[in-house]
Amino acid sequence: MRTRIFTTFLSLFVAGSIGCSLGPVSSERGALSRADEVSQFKPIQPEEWRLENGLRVVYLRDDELPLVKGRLFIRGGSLWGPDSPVGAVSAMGDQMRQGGAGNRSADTLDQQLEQLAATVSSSFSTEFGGVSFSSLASDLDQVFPIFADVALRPRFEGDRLALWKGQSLESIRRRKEDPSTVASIAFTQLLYGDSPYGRVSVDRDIQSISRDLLVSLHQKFVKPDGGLLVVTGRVDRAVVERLVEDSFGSWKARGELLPPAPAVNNEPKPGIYFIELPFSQASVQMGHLGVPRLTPDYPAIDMFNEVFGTSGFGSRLMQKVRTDLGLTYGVYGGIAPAVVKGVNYVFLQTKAESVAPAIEESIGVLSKLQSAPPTEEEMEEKRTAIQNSFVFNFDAIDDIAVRNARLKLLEYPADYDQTYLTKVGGVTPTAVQEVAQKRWDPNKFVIVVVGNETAYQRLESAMGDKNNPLSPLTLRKLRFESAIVMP
Amino acid sequence: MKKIGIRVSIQRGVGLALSVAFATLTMVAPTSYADDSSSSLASMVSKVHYETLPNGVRVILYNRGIAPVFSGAVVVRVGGSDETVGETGISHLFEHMAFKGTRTIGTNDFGREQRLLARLEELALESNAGQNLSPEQREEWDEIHKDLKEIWVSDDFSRRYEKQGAVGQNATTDKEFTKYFVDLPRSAFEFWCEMESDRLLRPVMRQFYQERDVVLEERRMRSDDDPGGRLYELLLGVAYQRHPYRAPVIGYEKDIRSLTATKLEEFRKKYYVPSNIVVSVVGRVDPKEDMKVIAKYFGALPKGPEVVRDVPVEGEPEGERRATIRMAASPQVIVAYAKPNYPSPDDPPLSVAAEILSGSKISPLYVELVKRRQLAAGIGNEEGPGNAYPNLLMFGATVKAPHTTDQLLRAFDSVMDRFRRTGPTQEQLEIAKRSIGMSFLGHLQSSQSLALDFASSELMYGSWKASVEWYDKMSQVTVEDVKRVTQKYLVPDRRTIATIERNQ
Repeated sequence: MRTRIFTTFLSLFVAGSIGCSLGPVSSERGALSRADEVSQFKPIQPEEWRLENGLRVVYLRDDELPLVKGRLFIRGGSLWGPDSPVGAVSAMGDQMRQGGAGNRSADTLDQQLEQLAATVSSSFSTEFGGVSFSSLASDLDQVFPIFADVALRPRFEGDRLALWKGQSLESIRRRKEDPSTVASIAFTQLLYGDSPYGRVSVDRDIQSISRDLLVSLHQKFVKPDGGLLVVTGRVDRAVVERLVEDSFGSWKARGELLPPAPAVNNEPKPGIYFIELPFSQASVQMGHLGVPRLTPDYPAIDMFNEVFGTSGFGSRLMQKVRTDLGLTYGVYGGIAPAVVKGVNYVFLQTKAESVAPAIEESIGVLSKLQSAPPTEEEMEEKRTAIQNSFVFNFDAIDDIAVRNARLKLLEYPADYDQTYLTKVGGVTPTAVQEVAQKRWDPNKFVIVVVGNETAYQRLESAMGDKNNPLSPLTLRKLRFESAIVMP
Repeated sequence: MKKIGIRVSIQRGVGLALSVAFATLTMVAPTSYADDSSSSLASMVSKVHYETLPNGVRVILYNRGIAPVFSGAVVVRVGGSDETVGETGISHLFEHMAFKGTRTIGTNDFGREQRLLARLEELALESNAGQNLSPEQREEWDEIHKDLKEIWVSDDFSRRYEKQGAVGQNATTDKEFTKYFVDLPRSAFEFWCEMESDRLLRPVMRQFYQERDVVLEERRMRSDDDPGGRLYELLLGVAYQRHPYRAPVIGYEKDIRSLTATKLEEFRKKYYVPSNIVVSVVGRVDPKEDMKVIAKYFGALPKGPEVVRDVPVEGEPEGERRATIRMAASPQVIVAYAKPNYPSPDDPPLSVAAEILSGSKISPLYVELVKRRQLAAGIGNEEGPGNAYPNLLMFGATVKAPHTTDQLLRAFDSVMDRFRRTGPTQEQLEIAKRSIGMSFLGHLQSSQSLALDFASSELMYGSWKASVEWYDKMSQVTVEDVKRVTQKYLVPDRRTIATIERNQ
């Protein structure tokens, strides 16, 4: 009963108090057509200020629910972490919240947050980390200082680190039981090699993470420089200013930012890498290294992605491999930029027997876009789709604030949102074809296949046929334990 | 489709709606929501527009949000629990087919297509649903498909939506419902009504045999290759002996292979009738103007006979059942207790009991199994597999090596024994009730989940307000209630235990 019912029910209580704060009521907009309502919509803009220590604060009031949410984004992550043990930065991120904070032991922290029915969580990944909270507006004075303690004064209690280690080891033990996890780990390792982008934690890494290391990593990364705090909810700006000043005002700036993210030097060896595991489906992840964020052709890349494989049923990949051929439940592909080199990818899964045609057909979809531009009709369909759906970036207050923060953290140009649709609107079919030609090279494809013996045999025999496009590639088996044993 | 999940960490929240709980919870944070609840509730009820069209389609509209967008949902009260063995998976496959278009969408020559599809169906019916085609039949089958390929416009239906700016276009099928939903800018409101009513009224079963293969791929992914999926399928097959809850919503492979476009068309005629459909829109809506459009399109569905359900009754459990899969996977456990479904008065206190037992990091099952003894990597609970019939309260746990399922179950039992004897403390009760409310607060900020919930409550209980009633009951649950239902239902004789044991 619970899951379904609650959603409905809670709304009943909040609705009464929100009517006046929402968009125009029907009588006011009676004169506008539905289309005009959309075309005349102006998204609200968050307010922003900066503390003396450099920490930026982004704030938007949201009266719909008596809640307040906050997120502290910190620049830093495993890209600047120690080469070994792998996973230490992510452990630090997790343990900021789990290991107690300030004058609260881990157990007391759990207990108090439960009593307040509030959440505080923390994490660090490759480029960014942070702490977030969600609280009843009326409890904000109690929750905000806990949130700040988790960010600034984590205790990293030893028994919680031990608990985390046990859970991490169990999750590593189970990697082999999920085909897409295996494929994804192998694909990442093969593309990025032995670098901060490609390393995968294994048992010995987890076991050697010490409390001292967590303390020093926290010391290294958690600083106001380059950081950003987002607060939204039913709370006045003056209250937020006071809380932020009280909790983060005395946080010392270091006056230094992290160096640029490390280069990607790996040169992946193209070919088909087969990991034999007893699954009825073969999971395929293939592609090659890609581009950084915001290359000059980013609007054309976005259009290419829509046409090729990120737009679900509207994409050529889905139409061909799923709808027309019935070979897969899901196939996705595109150019995913990242800080230095992103990934150009195609992911799918298919029954063992059809692994070779599914790969061939997917590459075929790419080749076709390389040899001929999309039709004007197709371009128009995608352009309109992007333009019409753009409003969904601004349909929730919290999303607006977080989007604003992300664009700042990733150093997107200030007019990114204002110019985006015009830029996308100007992309020509030829520009999309050029993306296919210049940004993709199927000869460089690393193709990871996780599947059973049948899948291997089918690949082997398909590659034995000289006319098969896969035939020039090499097929080799890889051993996967908790990660692949690098060839 | 619901599946039990192992939640190592659980998203927590506060029950702003839990005015009753708040009033009694004073040890930490006295809050002042008690006054809000009844007036807010009355106000909300007045803001939801509810209307039944002359043909029986029920419509629910609710205005919220800051942007000119809306979530539209069409929910049909049909799912796995309406299916019989031999045709399991038909609701789900139909849901897939509802994206294949209509007489005017997805085709460039419907007249010719209709004739070709008719011949294709004849071949399918002569050949065990296309499974045993003779060489001559196969040749004709391929020839027809070659012609059809010239006529079909692949994914035309979905692409038209995308062009309008659709986000999150999707559908799901569970034990009770088939739900079609999409978010669109308000400019596409009439377009949405036209598309949704067209696929209810004039769907075409094109590309059926390709889509059947897609569903078989989906089954491999969700069930065959996922230890958790296999365990859940096993559990339901043992916990239910007669009731259709025992079969997977996606269907047994053999059944999926035997489905034909003809069978789907018969299925549609039986269940896709106006009295079995609710249309629900949440976001920027204007009931007065929008109802005219809704009536124009959804009012066109012809009335059909009321759906008559003749579902076998499961009966009370007759003692503990156990089932094990031995496979190349790490051990997992699900312990499922047979319980009554809402509107039984015992349903809300059982939800509270589950939250107390395993809903948080201070829950006794988490503290004992995960934190203190470290026998499990994670533990969680879920109610299901559906809500229209007596269902299960399930606890799921991943066993942490080198421990065994037996060790974990013994520790589980000792926590449950103690809890049955002592019941919860007042503080545990209040924390759980607040937490239940807050856990789902996030959904409130999603127009889509509101739209779906309004519609499914309406279809299952005859009133979208049924949720209010459930909530009132939940917020009044006492320590004694929890103790009573725990002693009555969370007992070994009422449970099924399903486990995965590693065989290598």
